[in-house]
Amino acid sequence: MVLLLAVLITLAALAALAYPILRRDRATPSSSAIESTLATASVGALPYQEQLAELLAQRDAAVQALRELSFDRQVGKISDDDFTAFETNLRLTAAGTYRALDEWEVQSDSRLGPSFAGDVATRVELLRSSQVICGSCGRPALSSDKFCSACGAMLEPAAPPPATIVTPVCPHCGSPAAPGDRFCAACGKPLVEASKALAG
Amino acid sequence: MTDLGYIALILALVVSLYGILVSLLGARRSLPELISSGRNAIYVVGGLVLLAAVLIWYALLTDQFQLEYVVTHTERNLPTLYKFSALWGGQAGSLTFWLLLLCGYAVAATWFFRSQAPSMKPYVNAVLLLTIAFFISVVLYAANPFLRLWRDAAGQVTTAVFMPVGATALNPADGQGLNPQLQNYWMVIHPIALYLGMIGMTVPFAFAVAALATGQLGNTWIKMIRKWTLVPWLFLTLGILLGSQWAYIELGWGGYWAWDPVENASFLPWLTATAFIHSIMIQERRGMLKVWNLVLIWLTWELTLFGTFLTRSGVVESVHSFALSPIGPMFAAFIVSTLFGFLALLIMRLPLLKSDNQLDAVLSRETSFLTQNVVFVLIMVATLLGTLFRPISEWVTGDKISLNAPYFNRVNGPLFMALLILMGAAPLLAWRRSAPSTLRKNFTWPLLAALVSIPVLFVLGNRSMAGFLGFAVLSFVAAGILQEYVRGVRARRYATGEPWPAALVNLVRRNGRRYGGYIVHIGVLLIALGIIGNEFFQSEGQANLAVGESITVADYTLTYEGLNANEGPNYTEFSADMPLLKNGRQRGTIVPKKLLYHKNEEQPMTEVGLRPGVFEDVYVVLAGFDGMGQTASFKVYVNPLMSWMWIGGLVIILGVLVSAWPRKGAVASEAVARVPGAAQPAR
Repeated sequence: MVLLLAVLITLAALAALAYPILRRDRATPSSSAIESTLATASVGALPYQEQLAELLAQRDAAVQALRELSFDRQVGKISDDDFTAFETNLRLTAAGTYRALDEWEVQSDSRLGPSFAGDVATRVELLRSSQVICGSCGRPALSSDKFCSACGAMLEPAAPPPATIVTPVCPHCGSPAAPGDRFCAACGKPLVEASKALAG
Repeated sequence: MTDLGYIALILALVVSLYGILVSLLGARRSLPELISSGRNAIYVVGGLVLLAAVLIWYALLTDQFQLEYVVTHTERNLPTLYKFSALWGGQAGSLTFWLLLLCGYAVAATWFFRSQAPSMKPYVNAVLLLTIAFFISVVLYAANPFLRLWRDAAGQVTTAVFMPVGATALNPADGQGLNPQLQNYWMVIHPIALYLGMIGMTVPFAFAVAALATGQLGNTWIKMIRKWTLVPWLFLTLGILLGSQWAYIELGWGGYWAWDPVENASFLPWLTATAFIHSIMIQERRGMLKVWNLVLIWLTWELTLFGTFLTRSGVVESVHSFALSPIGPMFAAFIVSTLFGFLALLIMRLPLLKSDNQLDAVLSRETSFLTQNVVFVLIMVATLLGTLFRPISEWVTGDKISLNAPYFNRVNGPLFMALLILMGAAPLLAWRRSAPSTLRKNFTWPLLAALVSIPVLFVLGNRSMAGFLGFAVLSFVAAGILQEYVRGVRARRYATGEPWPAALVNLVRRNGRRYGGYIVHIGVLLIALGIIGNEFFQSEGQANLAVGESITVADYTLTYEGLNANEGPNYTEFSADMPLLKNGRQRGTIVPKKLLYHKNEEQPMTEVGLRPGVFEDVYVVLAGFDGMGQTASFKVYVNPLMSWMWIGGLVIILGVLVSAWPRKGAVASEAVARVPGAAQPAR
């Protein structure tokens, strides 16, 4: 009995440890260009995602310091002359952190590359082309929605897209895909046929 | 079934080592799947250690006397609560309990920080798993609670987890019982609080290592671990206070702290942790004291290991006991290797640890914090030297020379006084520099309060210089804190027009860190009040009394009316009813006791008869009695202001809650919402 339990526990432990490694093949293909860029791009000493956290921490510290300085003046802990001098200094520091945040945003947009804007536009077009109109209130909804988010009425299935718009679909599960996708976002299988069809 | 616990620990050790490897490999090669696997290793290890601990508890609660640990630490008649707490009543069990709490902290930290600082997390996980792996190794190799009793082929009793060849199982009918000193509820909660405090320091230390390893030495790691340091600090403080209360009530010598090595073992990390909690404010605010902060958290963690090494290896009693068990050498090796490992990392990253600013003036908050760091470290060094003097003197000269309470009081007393003065002065100083006009404005009332306290105490009858000085300093600090509150409320009322009560509440809500910190300082003041009262104004007396006779100490008279005997579940209790009079007026009855545990009659336990009071405690010890109780000997102490020490502990809890209470950071959360997949800022 003890041996059996030990074996079961060991197997459970192995499963928990191996799961993230085995999931790797399925996880990577379904990532969008945006998410994979965000996860792997790295500028300067800090990884990309954590630069924001550090900049925000610096900004919060500067804003908090200004708050406390103002409070110290109200309770009479510092003189007016010192307050003026310190406040100027702290405002410059705080402005610097805000500027750094703005620069980070600009850098992050350019780092995502020119294809980013194209990918977004394609996704938007895909969503627009697959919209349905609620028969109850007339609000647009996605073809994947079953109920209207405005009035709650059940939605009719979407009309097929116009023949002139070429929408690639996954040959395995039939889910729509975007031009440029290499793997299906729904089932994870390769979209070689879909890409060839689009190119054709 | 308990064998499964042993197997679980072996598996946990293997998983820990795997987790360290994949975490570091994943970090170095940027392989998120390995990092995730390393993170899962923490959850798996936590589950396995929990299983092992549950199985030991099962064995303790169901009297599985075939286990060596159970037979040596419990008995059939032991109350259930003490069977449960017997887990931390002995070496092997308490190490397993330590391991359990360590895994608890590791799992909680892994979960809490799951979406923050992804580049640091693998190193955090590696440090947590390394510490866990070390303690599992100690339990498996040096203090195994799963050892069973066997009679080997030669008829000798031996211990092993699995049956040796030719041996037969032994299953004693009853156990030897738990140490009588541990059979009271203070000793149930004191180790829990202390362990939660000491073990909890592993999390901020792990983040410090991760910050060094990744070079992320800005404010992020400080912000992340602030509350994860404050909470263990609170538990450590409470653990020390609970231990003092246990000593006060159970040991019966009229005091609460003897500077013995076991007490010092918990006090040393408290000193550096307190310095760290204050010092990180300077780094957050002004980007200074970065090296200090890393050194302080490093020392704190090493001292928690060193403290448990001191108490478990027996090295303080005799340096020769160091090698009698593998525990001492294992701890020594781990402490030395982590010491040098961290030092190497720190030296490597020194160029990144330059201060962002310089000290502008001597009279500034930054200077006072730097001074408090120095004073805390001095007290730590003095206490450490005093604690280790005995084994050092034995090693160097061959003679065991101990430094006792007089050394510690004489060296640390003035340093603590300096610390109290700093505690009062620092909040009155401004950041960067304090102009002479603001110094006059901020220090006038507190200094006046200190001066006024002297004639007041003189009128109340004090003639002790130490008493005058002590109360003057306490008055200075208390007046400074009161002034902070009054001025803060006044400023808020001026700005908002709120009435006083609302202004006070909102002031504390909006500035919880500052005003919660002041509440903690008030708690420290109350503890200091109790210490000064007990150290300098205690009265004592002792007498052999026949039935009907009385003893008078200070204003109190106690009369011995005779001895009573009662049977407990596993002990016989002897108690003496003593009516108490103060200046001739009835003040109730005090009942000091002696307990004789059936399994440990050579170790009678004292239960002090205590009448606590706002101004003084009356404390009576039944030191001994003749066979029939016709005469009994008593020690009586009158301890002024002692209750304030325990009230101070409660005030500290309140202060930490106020300081650490979560507040919404509206600016931060709004900014993060803009960026998809971004790391979450520290809460």
